[in-house]
Amino acid sequence: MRLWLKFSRRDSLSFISHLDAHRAYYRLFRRAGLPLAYSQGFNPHPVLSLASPLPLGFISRADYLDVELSQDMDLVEISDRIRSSSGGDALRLLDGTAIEGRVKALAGMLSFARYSIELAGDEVRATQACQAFSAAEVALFTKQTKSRVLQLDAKELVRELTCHENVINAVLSLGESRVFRPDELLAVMADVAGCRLDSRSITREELYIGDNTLHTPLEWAKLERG
Amino acid sequence: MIPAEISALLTKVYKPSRYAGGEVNMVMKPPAPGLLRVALAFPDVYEVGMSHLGLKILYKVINEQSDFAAERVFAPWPDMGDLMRDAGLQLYGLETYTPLCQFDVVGFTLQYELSYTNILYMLDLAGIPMRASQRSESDPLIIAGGPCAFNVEPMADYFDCVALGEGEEVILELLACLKANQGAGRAEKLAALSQIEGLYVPSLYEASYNDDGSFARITGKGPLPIEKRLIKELGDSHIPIDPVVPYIDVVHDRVMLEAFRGCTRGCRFCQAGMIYRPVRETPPEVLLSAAQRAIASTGYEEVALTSLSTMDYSAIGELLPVLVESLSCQGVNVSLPSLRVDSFSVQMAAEVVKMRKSGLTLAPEAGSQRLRDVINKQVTAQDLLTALQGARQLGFKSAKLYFMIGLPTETYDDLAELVQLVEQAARILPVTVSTSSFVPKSHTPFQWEPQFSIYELEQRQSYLKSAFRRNRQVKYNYHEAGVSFFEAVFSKGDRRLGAVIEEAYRRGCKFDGWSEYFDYTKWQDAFMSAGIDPTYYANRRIPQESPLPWDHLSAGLDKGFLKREWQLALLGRPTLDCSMDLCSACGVCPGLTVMPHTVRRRQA
Repeated sequence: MRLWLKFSRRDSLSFISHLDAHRAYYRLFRRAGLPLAYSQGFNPHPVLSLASPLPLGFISRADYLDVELSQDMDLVEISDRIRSSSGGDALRLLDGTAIEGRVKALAGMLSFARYSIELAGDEVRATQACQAFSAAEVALFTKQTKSRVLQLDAKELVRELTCHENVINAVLSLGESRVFRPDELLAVMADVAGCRLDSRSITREELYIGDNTLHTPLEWAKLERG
Repeated sequence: MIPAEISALLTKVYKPSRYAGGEVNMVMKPPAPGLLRVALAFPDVYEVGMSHLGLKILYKVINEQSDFAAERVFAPWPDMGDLMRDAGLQLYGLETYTPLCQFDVVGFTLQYELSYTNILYMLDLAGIPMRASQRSESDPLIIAGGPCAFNVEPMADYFDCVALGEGEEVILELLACLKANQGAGRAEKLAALSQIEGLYVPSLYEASYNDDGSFARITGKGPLPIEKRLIKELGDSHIPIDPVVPYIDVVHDRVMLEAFRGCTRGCRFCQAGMIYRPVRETPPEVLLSAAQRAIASTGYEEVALTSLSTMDYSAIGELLPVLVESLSCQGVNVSLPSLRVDSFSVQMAAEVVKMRKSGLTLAPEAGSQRLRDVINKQVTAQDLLTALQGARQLGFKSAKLYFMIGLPTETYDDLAELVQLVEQAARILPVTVSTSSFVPKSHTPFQWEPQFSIYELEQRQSYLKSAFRRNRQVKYNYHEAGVSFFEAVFSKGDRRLGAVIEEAYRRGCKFDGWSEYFDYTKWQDAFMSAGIDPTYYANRRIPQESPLPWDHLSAGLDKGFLKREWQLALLGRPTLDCSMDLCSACGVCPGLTVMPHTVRRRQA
């Protein structure tokens, strides 16, 4: 049975790599006694993938796991077992759903992510930076990928940008070769506004599917089921 | 929650998880009145320390007691160490982020001589005076244990108290004694500790030297000699079934089940084989049940059966298939860390253990039969070749062979035979040959032996290098001779070396066991400035009638046994394993009222 599970993670679990996070989830499933399905082939591995990598040091309230169990189980029992095996509250299961039918890998469907960025400076500076960015016609920046240097317009990658006190709320592109990270956003905003912007903490609040209307993965799954 | 001043540094360092704590199965006991707090300190990086079974055992036995709390602390890699200094952040325990200086006890493990500077580095980062004599009533008690405790003399000035032998019982006695003496002063506490069997309080003793500079004697107010502690029977309570599970990849990242303690094969160079006598096996049903519980509590994907020579476990043939069967349905593998050089081992490993058949590691230790007889490694060239043939048939793709060079009496004839043996082996499977240089260790029959000079060791390394150069089936690696030299110096050192270690640390030496940090010149300079010649310790033959700086630290071995073994070595005569054959009269069993304990009769 295939599942999409939504977790939050923070503290120690914010300081590990994508690969280490995968291993932490495998081990969680084994402690919980949930039988992971294994891939076929020469070197079988559990069918479990984290939909989007979390940059080191970020807090996540939206870690989505796309995972397959080798047998059908009751969702309530699955969540009970996970909750009693998570080992502390740095990792918490928030929600989840079974996925039926032919659905692509969640990782490939994501289009945007919502972040809240708590700034180290005062709120006036945060407001000014948001206003300056919103007023700008273009906000060009260069991004170094593995193979090339891209010149992109940050304005096209930001879907939503608001500010409340010293916290910036931003919905940023996650699309293929158009991934825009909140720390990159801060650098562009600082550039446009001509001031220094340092973050105290960055939290990934949600992930979305869709281009015109955004749905969280669990909303999307519910709509698909009809 | 990670305190803000720590998490501010974590985004700036390599592998921040080393310093974050919060792992699965971590035991967090908030400070409370009457709670005695111990920091278990491993003087190397997190990934090395988290692989160590002893740490897991002590963490378990201490935290099982409601009056005591154990936390972990590792040596911060220099990137973090520098940032901590700049930020004025003191070294802290990973469980509650409490600074080390606020603990009651800080206990270091002494696994390796070249981690001594890291102990000073950690004390320095913790803001605790390095020397025991400089510490005040409010400072924690700094204690140590582990294999190097048997010659702790070079570090004697830095520890308040040292535990000899196996630590799981004596640590609780030590803590109970401190609790009973909570109102007492430091000196009073130490005097009380010195009365507990297995505990050594170095400040109660003084070393003196002869006019020619040689060691004369240790005298003091405490008991002499200090006898090691050991656990007479291994059972369920000695297995850490819910160890802390790291989030990052560590060196040994798996459940470790101790199949037995001690090894009496009697290799004459091997300190572990001498100081952990006698053999005591864990019953198979205990191992089987512990494996299940450990997987349920950790979620690990691998279980290792550990010991100094796991294939000698007397019930291995019945245990392994059942263990493998009971774990495979959960997607859990079994691994064996050490294999014997014989075809039984290879078959066992391959048939019942689903291990990656990429490589196989075997340690013949010496290249010629003559030299293998000298060191009592009872393996023949034929054993090795048969094992490799078996390995090839079973699908192994290559083999790693470990040898020691510079063993006592070694000549170039022995090295020529080593080359020949490797060439024969390489016709069966491609081999990677690794040589380490022999380090004479205290409490072994070779404790009086000199190490060959660095120059001579390097000559022998280049001889092998050129011999293997043309053979494309052989890859040759060797350990840096300068590192082995300082290992020998500290293995056989005395109290006078304490000053050199501090001097080396002041000059920037730390992480000396890591080739990227080991700095031979800085160490030489430190010795020079302390006016001490390191070759005196490493390269001199000690007369057998001379007193030794570690004679008062007893592993239960009769010195007559070690002398006898040394003579048999020169004659090339064997001594058989007492867990399979006759008693070799090493003195441990009668001295410590213990017996070898095996599940079945072991077969030679």
